[in-house]
Amino acid sequence: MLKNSLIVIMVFALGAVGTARADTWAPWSASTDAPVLLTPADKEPPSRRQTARTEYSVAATPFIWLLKLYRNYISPLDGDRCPMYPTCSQYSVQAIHEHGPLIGIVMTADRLIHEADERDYAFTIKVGNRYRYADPLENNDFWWYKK
Amino acid sequence: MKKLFLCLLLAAAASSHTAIVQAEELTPEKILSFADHLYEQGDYYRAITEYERLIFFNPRHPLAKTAKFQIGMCYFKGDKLTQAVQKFRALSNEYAKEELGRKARFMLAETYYQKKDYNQAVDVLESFLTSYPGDPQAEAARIKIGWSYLRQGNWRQAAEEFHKLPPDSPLRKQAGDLAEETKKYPELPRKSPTLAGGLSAVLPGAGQLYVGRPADASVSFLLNGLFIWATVEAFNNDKKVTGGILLFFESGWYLGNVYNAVNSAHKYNRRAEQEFMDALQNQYGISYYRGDEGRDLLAFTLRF
Repeated sequence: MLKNSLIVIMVFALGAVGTARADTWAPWSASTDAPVLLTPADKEPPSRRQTARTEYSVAATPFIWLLKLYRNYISPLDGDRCPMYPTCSQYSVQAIHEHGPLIGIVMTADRLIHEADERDYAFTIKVGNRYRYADPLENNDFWWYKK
Repeated sequence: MKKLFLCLLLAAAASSHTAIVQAEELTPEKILSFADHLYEQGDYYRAITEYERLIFFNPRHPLAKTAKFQIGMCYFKGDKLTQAVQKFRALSNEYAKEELGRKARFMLAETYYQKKDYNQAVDVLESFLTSYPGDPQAEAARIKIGWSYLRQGNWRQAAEEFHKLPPDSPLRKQAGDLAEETKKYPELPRKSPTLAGGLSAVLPGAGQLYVGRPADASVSFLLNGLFIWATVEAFNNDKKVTGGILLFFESGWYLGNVYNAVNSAHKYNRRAEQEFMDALQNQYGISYYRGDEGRDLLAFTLRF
């Protein structure tokens, strides 16, 4: 019994070490000729926006729940239709986290309105197996919000 | 005969051993050469390991300083700008009175510029000019300060910096031309965010048309038109709950429409400024090349 428990603990410990090593000591290289290639996320430490904030105001909670409901249950049935990155629902969650529910909703409406013409100006980015138009939050609040 | 054969065997064994020992001897020069090879290949991650190897086994060797600087360059070229800043800052402080410190200070400014942290870039370049006033890279630093101001939209200060090049400088004329071009910055075609927002507040979509986004204008007009019509119809038919819900959604669309018009005007202006600066950079770009004495020299690229 004790032996089995020890083995299980050791396996978990090894798993944890493996995860830590992959996250912190993974090799990188900026050259496409050199095979040790970095992931885009490895380039720079994530900014405040990229790190998902866990805390948000009470007023934002119902909106976040509704968005999660949409993302988890409606969007998979509806299909992947948003051509932007981050997707409109991800963008909305980010906007509400960053600026609160009022401005977050206004910025979400702005995002839904400007999807059409933004494709002429945004650069494309490969996400998974699909190319999307990059339109991050900072592309739409740069003129009034400084990090 | 047997003795001769044994002697030959011994001699062969001894020579082969020498060969192995020689192959294993890695001098600092050899390590640096291999590290530089990796650096040239763009394999910066492995190059850092080799530079670190040189420093670890030969901490007092003169080449160790070169290796330290090259580690900073690896981070810089590998787009690890935060780490590059730390490395160059440490070197510029530790070796402030040496050539290494001078190079590190300049690269620190260059790294801040790449990070788009233009205020920090200006601070470091000003300190560079104060610490090394007669340096051959002083002109490059002055021009970089000008570019840092221009990137922040401070064209007056940028023009002043370009004009500060000494009269005997071979780059004086080109810098003067660049300063003149910089003065076109306020004449760039721009759209007023206030006007765009005001137009969309009066008629949804009008501000978007003003900033040249017809598809956004159509979406905004249709969405707002439909929701306003539905809200009015709901209240007219005494369906207050439905009307309230529709009014809530319409408020979002309406405010989003105004925000969108203002946002689009700002994006229009940003794009105009970016294109202007890219054109200037292409016409009056600065490039560095290594002179005969191994020092970095500054050159303007002038295209007609």
